[in-house]
Amino acid sequence: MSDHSSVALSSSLIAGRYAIDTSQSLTDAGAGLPCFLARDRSAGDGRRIALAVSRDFSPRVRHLKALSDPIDNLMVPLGHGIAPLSGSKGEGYFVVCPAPPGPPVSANLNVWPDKALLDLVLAPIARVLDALHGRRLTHRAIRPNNVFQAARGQLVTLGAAWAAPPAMHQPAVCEPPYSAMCHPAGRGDGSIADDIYALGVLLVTLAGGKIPMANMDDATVIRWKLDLGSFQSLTRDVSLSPSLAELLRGMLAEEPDHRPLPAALLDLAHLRGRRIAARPIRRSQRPLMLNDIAVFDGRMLGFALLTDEKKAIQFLHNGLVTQWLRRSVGDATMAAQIEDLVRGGAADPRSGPLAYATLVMRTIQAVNPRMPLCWRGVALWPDALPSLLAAALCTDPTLSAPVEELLVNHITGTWLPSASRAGQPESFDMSQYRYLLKDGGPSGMLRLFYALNPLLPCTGPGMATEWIASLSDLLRFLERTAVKAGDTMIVPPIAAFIAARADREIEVQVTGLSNINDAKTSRLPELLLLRNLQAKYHPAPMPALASWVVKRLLLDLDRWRNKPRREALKRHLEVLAQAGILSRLLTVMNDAAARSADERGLLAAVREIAMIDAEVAAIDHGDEARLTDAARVGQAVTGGIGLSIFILMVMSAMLR
Amino acid sequence: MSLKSIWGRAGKALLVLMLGLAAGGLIALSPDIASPLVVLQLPGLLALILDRSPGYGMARAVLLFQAAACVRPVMDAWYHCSGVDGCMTYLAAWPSVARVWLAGAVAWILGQLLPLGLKVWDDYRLRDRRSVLTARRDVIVAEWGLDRHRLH
Repeated sequence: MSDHSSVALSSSLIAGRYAIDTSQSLTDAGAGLPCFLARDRSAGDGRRIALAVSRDFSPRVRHLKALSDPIDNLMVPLGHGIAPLSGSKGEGYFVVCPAPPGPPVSANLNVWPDKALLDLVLAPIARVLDALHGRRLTHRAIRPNNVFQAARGQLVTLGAAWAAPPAMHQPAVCEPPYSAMCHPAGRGDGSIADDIYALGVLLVTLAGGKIPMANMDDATVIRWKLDLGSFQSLTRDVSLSPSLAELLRGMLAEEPDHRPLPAALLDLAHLRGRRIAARPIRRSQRPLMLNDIAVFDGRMLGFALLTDEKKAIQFLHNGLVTQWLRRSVGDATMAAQIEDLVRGGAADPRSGPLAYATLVMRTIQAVNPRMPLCWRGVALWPDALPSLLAAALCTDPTLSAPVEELLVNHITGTWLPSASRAGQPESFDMSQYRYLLKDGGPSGMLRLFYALNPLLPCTGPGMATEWIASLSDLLRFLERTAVKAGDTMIVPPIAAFIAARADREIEVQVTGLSNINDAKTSRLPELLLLRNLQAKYHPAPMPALASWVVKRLLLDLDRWRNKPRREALKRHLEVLAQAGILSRLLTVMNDAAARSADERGLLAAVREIAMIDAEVAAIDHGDEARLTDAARVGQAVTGGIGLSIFILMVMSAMLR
Repeated sequence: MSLKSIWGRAGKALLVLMLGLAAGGLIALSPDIASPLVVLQLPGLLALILDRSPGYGMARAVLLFQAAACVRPVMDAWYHCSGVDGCMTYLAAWPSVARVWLAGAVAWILGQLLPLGLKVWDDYRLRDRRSVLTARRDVIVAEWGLDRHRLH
């Protein structure tokens, strides 16, 4: 193999060692995500898998960074990066993981005995969760098709959960109801208690040999879980041993704090003595019908208010909710609290277009503090805003308006999470990105999208098959496409991408460029931006881009008034373009001393032309004066000749 | 009025005074010479009357040429003739008159031709200068991309 081809090959490896073969798809290994065969060039047993990352949803960056060491029975991320797709279909982003030991347990569901459940499933996964909990991480993808077993009697291995937002592909049945009711992209990292819940659902599935609540849609699953409780809903047609039922009752507890920690699951004898009684919920005998939902308690009321905002506002304003709380539930305190909210400023439509949405949000939070943030019918946990924003911009336009309101008005900052969720690590601090919304104008959301999802690619024109995730990648792309580029390269999506991924200085420059609407005026700022980008993020020769820049600069060449200097400058720029360094081109073009000399030369030329014109005019119009002068001089000369002859004659006569 | 023009007018008046004194002296000392001299200088005197050019340049040239032609006949007449009639016969003879008047004619012709020659030579020089200026202007306009019409 030639040096050139070996370099090309090594550049297509992830982390310098993993080669992806996208022609070999592995249907069962990715738990629903596209998965391909990968090879580790540095290991003897080189079989690995590569999970494809969606262009629209970010992988879990914090987990990819934190999980650098192997964990037994977990498919930890070994590497991640960009690799070419087979058949010249462009590029993709992949997360490389160890290959699963066998098929997923969902491939051949049967009834597992209790001992196998505890020893082969609960114990290894609890150890994995304990290791993750120690790193302040969660898994959030525990489901039957993401748990693998080499053979009967072997310990199961937990699959990967790093290539998509947390819990995004979790079925509603595997999630606690307060996570299941969220938009799939809005579930957030959650807590380890959510993983314990999903593990409990897995155990119920394996104990019963079937997926519980399999024939129900997501809304029904959530309503059943809220109405009956998760344990009762999930185990109603599964026969469980008393000890396993006791264990699952704890794991599927409604209150996250009541679920055992992973370490406790490793000591079942100690766990059996631990039982936390949940506080009984006030239920009414007479339901409040909100659309087709029969509301018997505060949990269901919160969900019902979430599902129909208009109806919720109507019920709050006409007092049906508070009346039902007082008379049927007997909770006068809650009714008074809601009446205060309705009467307060949040209920006043004059206080702004957000008043009703704010009222519904606060009412839901008041009636059930465990509910996620509910805004205009969308439920989410605030730490999921980056992926929810991605969903709004890329896949679900109906989310755009609510997500924009949440971000622009900083609703998440005023929403207080429940105590069980308050201590969870946030994956980002929204306040440090607010300047992007403020500066970005119409592109503010797009800027925020790129800033909050740092591994997702740019969505600029012509980039559909490439994975442009860094400014260096972007500059390489611009270099490749410069030959067929139009009048401008920094189109709005690319400007937003640069503003989000570059430093503050560049961001300010992009904002200034975006505020210019005139193509001619924006030409030089665009070139200056490209120059700074090259200097900071890709200081390598880019001759094609430089040639494009020269073409743009030549349009401004008429600012130089001296034609020979213009020609010389043009030749000089074309020579410099071959070197591919943009700063040199702009230095030559913006040489202040040379420009000043050119201006001075122009003024001198104008003055000289004025003098020439005056002299030519004098020549053209001075004929008569010159004739007079000639006559005067001619006669004077004739007189002089006569005088000379006279003197000579007098002298000659006197001397004779 | 400038000092130069005052001196010019004073000098002109002094010249007229000196010529008048000289003519008066000549008539007083030698009227037999002065009378035929008027005949010899007649074209010059007529030119002096008819000349409208500033400074009487043409008349002055004619008088000077005729004066130069008169020097030798006057010197001869001074020694060889006596009396107004004798000197008139001697000086106003056709050969002398023809020579002096011819000198006046030469002065007149020279006074006409020399300005023409000077004008032709000046025109040639200026045409050359104009072409140099035009060429220089074209170079500047081309070099700086200036609007020729606008500048005109």
